[in-house]
Amino acid sequence: MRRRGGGVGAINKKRLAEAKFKDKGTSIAEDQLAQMSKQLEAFRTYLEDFATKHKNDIRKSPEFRTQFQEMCATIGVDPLASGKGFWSEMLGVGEFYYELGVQIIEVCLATQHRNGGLMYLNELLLKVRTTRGKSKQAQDVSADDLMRAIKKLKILGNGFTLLKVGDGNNYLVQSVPAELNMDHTSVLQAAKDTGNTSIPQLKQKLEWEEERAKLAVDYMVKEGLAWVDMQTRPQLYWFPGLFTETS
Amino acid sequence: DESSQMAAPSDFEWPWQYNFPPFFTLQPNLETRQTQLEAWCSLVLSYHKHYKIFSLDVTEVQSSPLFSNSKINRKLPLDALYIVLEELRKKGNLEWLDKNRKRCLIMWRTPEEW
Repeated sequence: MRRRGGGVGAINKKRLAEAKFKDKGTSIAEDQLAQMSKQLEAFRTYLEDFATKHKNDIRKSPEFRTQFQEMCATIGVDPLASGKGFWSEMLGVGEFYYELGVQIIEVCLATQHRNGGLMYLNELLLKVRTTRGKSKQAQDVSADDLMRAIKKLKILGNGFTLLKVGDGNNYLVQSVPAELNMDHTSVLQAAKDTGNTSIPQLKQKLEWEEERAKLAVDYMVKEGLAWVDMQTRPQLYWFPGLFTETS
Repeated sequence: DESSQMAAPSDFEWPWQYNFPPFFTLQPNLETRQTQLEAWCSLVLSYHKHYKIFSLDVTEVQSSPLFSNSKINRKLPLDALYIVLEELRKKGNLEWLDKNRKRCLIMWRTPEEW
């Protein structure tokens, strides 16, 4: 009996303690929440100040935009995620990138018949600048801006991809939904200097078997990315997106 | 002979494809080939229009700069040349003058447009 009675007392005590802990816990959480919304409020005010001071810098200067975006990425905020986000409402960055996205799509569509949907980022930049008009503000677009806009375009589904070719900041923009695997990217890599490649060249450069090289280029011909040139031995595979007229 | 009546040798502007070597090989991918044929048709027509030429001799034209680019050492083979000409005929821009398809009229304006 004693044991049982003592047991009940202990349990009651424990329950009491638990309830107190819970109360305390909730009040701490509430405190934190209140403090957090206060912080957010303060943050918003700071941002408003920042925005009024630097709005034009962000719109005008590509470097400033990059720095601002990098800062946002460090604290885990995506200012482009929604046009309704208070970042984009405040600073107009969203508007800027969405407009750029539309211009990128237009340029890619207009050139697809020629390049099969593959073009260098730098070429795209030149063409986008042309469509934006001659004003100084319209011209202030950087390759970094394009890459950010393209990453956002991926949300629309399979269609826009950035392919890294070579070292440094050399990128290819792919605007058609062909699935390019590692082998295909290697083929583009091999062709990037001359605009063309061949089976023997791929075998030698990449140490591939004949079959593997053939499979990769045949796929790219099938997808309209490569053209065949039979007037040389060995026959060459040309990529209009990599071809620049050397007069 | 009309073909010898060259207009003032003002520079003809070649399209980018003219310097793109595989343009001179008939493409195995049917979609790409369609794009290629379209470009060839428009090149043939604008070339004839620019130099005000109204007819074409298949044997002669094979060595004309129109179908052979010496700079990149490429030449449109005869079978591909005939495919381009047939495409032009289908569009109403070409009329054969003989049964053996050796000579034809090139109408850079279709009869309706005249």
